[in-house]
Amino acid sequence: MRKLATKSLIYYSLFAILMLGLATPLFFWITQKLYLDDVDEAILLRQEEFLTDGTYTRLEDEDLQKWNAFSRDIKILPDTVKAAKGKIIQQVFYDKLADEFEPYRVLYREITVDGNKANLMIRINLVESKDLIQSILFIDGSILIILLLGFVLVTKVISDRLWKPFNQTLEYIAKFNLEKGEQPDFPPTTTLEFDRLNNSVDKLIGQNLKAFEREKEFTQNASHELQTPLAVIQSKLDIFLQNKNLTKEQAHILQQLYDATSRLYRINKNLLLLARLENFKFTQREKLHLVSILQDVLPYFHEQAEKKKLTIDTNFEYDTTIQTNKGQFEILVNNLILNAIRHNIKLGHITISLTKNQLVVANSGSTEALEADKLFKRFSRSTELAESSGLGLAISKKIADLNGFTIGYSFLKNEHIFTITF
Amino acid sequence: MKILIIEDEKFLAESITAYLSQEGYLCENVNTYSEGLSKTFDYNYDCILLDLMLPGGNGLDLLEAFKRENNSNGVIIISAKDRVEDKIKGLQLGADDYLSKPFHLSELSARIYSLMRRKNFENTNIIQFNELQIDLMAKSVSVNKKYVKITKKEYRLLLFLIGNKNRTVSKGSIAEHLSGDMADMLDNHDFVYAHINNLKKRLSHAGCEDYIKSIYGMGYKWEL
Repeated sequence: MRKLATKSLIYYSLFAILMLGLATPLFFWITQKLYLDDVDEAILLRQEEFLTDGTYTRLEDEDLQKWNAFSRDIKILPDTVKAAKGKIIQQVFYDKLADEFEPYRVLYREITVDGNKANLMIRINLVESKDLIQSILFIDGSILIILLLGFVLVTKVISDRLWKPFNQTLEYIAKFNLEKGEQPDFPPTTTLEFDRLNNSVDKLIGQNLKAFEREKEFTQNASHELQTPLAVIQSKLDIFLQNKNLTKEQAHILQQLYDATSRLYRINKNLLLLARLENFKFTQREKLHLVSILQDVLPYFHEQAEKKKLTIDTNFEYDTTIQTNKGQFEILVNNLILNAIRHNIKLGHITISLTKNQLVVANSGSTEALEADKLFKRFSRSTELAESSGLGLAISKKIADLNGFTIGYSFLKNEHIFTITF
Repeated sequence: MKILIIEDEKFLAESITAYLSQEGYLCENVNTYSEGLSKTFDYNYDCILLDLMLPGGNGLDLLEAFKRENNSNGVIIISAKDRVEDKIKGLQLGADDYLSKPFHLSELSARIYSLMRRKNFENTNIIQFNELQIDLMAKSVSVNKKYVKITKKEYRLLLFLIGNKNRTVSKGSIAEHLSGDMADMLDNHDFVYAHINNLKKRLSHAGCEDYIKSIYGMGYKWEL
């Protein structure tokens, strides 16, 4: 991932390089053309001077050698030149001094000297285009470096100063926790876009908080409203049970109705609990001795484990004390242990271990690992067990979260292991 | 004994009346706050069953009103509000007990029974059934005047059955009664059978007649 500023910097730089790359040959071509035009003009001027002056008409054949020896760039040659005449062409000539060939603009034309045909040559040395290119590239390169440095500098300032409110907003959003229910207070900004962003996020969060609040309220109200009809059903069943002429079949149906009602009651109760847990900040914390809490509830679990003939082993290494809400902690522990009983196999076993900062409940059960990511979600039970409300682990997770514990699941050597770390 | 039921849910009030009448209680039913208020001012009841969310007012205000009148009758709150805070508030205002909905009628009956025993027999609180004697103060049981050793849970089970005598109590209601705060979580009620069996054995060993009848394994009845 790259910063937005870095990304735009890359595009700016690419554009700068492209522009300079295109401009350099163009610049070179134009410069050269202007230069050649200049040189050509000079040649034509010299030709005109030479012809108008007319000195050459007084020359004799013998003088030509002297003329050519003293005149460097205007020479009178015998009529043996094959190059095109009357127009300016480009040619190279050997330079003795520099020991290299150098480019020249040359004009040949036919004249008559001393009654004989001769060729007039007017030439001008061109500055080597290699040098020209080098100078242009040097200037271009300097401009490129200055441009790039400028881009980096400006971008740094932009990302540091202009984007500051944006980064602050991002941080606020990242820190936002729906369950805490606190609306973040964005610092004011003078940038129109960021101000709009802040306002929109503010609105979005506000709506979310309201929706979340409504959902909680709805769950609480719905569960609450269900209590009374449930009470009616339960009481009618109790009355029905008093019927002296109950047949075995009727009793069986009645038992099933009792079971279903009791399950309904438990689901409802757990939903209510889950919704209420949100108001954690108002609950009391106290110092808890975990060993004594576990020992208080163990007899109940032994009773529950009776049917499957489970062995429950305890391994309390350390009398851990933690500062937390007693009721909630009991629910957390009870849920885990009941789960271990409920999803166990006949003659299976459960091990409850307590170390300085961990409570571990391990149990035998199905030989396949459970889906860890679904496990703690509402109503996402792995097995269709009639007794389970599908909320136990969701409640445990919520309690753990609220109290700053972590709860984890692992599957090792055919054991399902739930770990609470304080 | 007279019981006033202040409960706006008619079907529930009917069930309660039907169940408690079998025990010989005289039940009266009112559905609103104002009716409840006037009844308690005009008549005397041994026990009042009070719902909290009533048409026309809050049950807690009603409770305060008749506690101001220095009424010595017992009050049991029956409410869908089941938070600890609600319970504490109700009990602080002078209620004798708090039962959250939904509840088993057998549980309600057992609570009324023990409340009535507490109110009416403060010094010598002894229940006598033929050869069986239960001392509520000492929490002990004897058969033919001979002490019977009994566990805490068996004692509670015995009182629960006696509080619902001649009526069938479901296995679930017994399980809940014996599990206390844990009741909401426990889904396997099979352990009730073991406790019933143990209680039966202890009593019959001591020479007590078997008053506990099983109803198809789904419920039990203390039959006299």
